[in-house]
Amino acid sequence: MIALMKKGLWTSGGHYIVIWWADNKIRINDPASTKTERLNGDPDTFFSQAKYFWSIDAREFNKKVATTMNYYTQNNVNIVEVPVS
Amino acid sequence: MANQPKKSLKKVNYCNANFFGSYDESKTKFTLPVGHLICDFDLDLKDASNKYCSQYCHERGTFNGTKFTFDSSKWKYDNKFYNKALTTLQIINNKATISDVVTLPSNLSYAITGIPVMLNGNDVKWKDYVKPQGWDGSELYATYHIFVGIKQEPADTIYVMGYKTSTSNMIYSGEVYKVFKNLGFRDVIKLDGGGSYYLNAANTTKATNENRRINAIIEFGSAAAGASCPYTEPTVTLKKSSKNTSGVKWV
Repeated sequence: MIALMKKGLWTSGGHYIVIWWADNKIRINDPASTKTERLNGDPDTFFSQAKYFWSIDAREFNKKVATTMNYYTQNNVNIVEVPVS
Repeated sequence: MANQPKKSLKKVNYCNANFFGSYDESKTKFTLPVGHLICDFDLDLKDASNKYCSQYCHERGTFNGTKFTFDSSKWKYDNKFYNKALTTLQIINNKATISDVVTLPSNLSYAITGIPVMLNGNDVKWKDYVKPQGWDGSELYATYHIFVGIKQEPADTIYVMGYKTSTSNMIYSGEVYKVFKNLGFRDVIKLDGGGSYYLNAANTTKATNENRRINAIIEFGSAAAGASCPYTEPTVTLKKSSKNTSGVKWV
């Protein structure tokens, strides 16, 4: 997810960050900081300071590029098995 | 869409695909598809050849974002396949089918026309079935060819195959029907071959010598081509805090 943060821990004005995971903390890639509290956000603090979210689901894309083909030769035919995705 | 010399693409795991026409404008060579084609189109338009390719694809087909559709039934000029029922591999909802279509259905994600060599488990008749589609037989001489087949319909897997034929008309002779029948196929179409022939998979390349400019390619997904998703399926869903929701817009 991409979040636009308003004034608070992450910015004094406006700032975009990437959320890559959530458990007991909001796990963040912050292009402007490596501070622990900004990379591992307290959920209440995070939600209070997030203005907009954009959710991006790349799992289908990753499945596609990670598809494993099977290549072999049979009866003099070179064969590539390609799962349809 | 590739529109590049077949050996010059900065890719691995692909083969030449559709039949095409070669063109030359202002001494710049480019290619355009022959027969139905639905493909991804993300050519670098700074390249002069790609610019012409794009220009004429816009004239002949339709674009939806980066998805290009050339419906052969809608392009009459100098098109011997115009309004013909063409045997076409079609991908819809992640399933593959091969059937004859005059006009492409609107809900396909990919499509490519080929020469039928085997349909519904049976051979096809050159004179009564294939020739009337518009093919003239020059596509079928003894050389290396790319084929695409399915073993059931609809299919979860397509089989891309390279094979060298030895008869002057692989359909009339029944040569390829026998080969693919023995391999358990239901439907098989022949794509381009000869000087266009190129098959790269698993670090192995099969190709004829000429570095001919080809039109479209089929890319094969590969574990080596893209790292798998490093994260497991999420088990936690981000939810609005009951206390602090002001100003938060969920999209």
